[in-house]
Amino acid sequence: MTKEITELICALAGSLGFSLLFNIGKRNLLPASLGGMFGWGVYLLCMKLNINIFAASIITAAFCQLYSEILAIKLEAPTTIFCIPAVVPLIPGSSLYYTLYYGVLGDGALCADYAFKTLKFTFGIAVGISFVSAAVLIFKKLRRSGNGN
Amino acid sequence: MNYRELMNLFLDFGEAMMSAGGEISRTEDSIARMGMAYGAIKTNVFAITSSIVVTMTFKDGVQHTQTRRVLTSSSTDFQKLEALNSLSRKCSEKAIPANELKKEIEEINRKSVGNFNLYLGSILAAGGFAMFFGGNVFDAVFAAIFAVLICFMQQKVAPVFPNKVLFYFVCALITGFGIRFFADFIPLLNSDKIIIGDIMLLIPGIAITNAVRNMLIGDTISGVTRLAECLIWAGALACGFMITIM
Repeated sequence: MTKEITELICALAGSLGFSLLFNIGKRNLLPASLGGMFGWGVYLLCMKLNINIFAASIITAAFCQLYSEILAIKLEAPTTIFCIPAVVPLIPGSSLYYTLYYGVLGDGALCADYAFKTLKFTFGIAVGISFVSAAVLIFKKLRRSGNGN
Repeated sequence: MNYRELMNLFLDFGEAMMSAGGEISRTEDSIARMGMAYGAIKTNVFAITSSIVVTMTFKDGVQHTQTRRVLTSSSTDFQKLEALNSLSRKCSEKAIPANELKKEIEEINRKSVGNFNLYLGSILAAGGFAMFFGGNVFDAVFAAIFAVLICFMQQKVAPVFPNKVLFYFVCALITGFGIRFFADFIPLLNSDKIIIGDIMLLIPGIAITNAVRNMLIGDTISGVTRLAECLIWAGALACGFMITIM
């Protein structure tokens, strides 16, 4: 459990760091970086439920995008501002490193393993985000046409 | 202000938005909506990562086309993006005088990210992620120290380099050797975790994700260009770090 708590706190620190790097205004700083922590919480939950990492990264990214869409309406800011810091902990920096590392060592099997893991995360994030943003667009369109405009 | 100047203004706006990290679709939408608000009957906007093409038909029936090469490569600045976004919203609801619009765009463009934010952000991100991926406190501290070096290089050294590929390679090489040097002397340190923490700063992970996303929502050309660009950067990073861990 301590490992999970450390990870959550570090995810918060990391997301806060990226929020600062991307110059998110003071007003949106806290909600944006909390997104990283919540997102990682969802991912850890998926791991607890034995969901595979591709599905887990889709679910997590979808959650992050949904969180951002809601915040974007509440705080009247573009969705990206909240979504990017939220998905930062999912970015496979570590598996990319080990892909290279085992590539250099000449361990083909482990290298391929980590390479696949890196790809799964990258595509998972993109798919999750696109899916929710498309769903929200459709929902908005339907509601607008429902109002008779 | 005539139509030509007006469209030039829209292109200034689009360029600012794209270089602040705005999505392609958002940029296209905003320009089109602003055009309609300023009296265009028909607007046609095509944007890819490196260029914007706008064609507008105004009330006189004449079509005007202008293009803009977007040179500034992605340096994300969300405060700028937010300001531009609300400016575009304001203008599409009720067109403000063109002179005022020009002033507002110039005002937004003048601001840049403060050094304090950049350094603190790098320190927090690198330190946080070094520990996040399983490093100990000392790893986090050293990742943070090298994050300052990376941030300094990104600010002062990168503009001197002819392209980002070479910069990433050299940056990875210097950082990697520095980390190896300390890790060899201090047994408490795990060089892999420190490098991972610092890789998070350099890796174009968000750009890659955005590129894939662009492809999924139909901005195929932008997506493919961005993805290829990012993969080359990642390759350069990889070469740099690989040399140091051999």
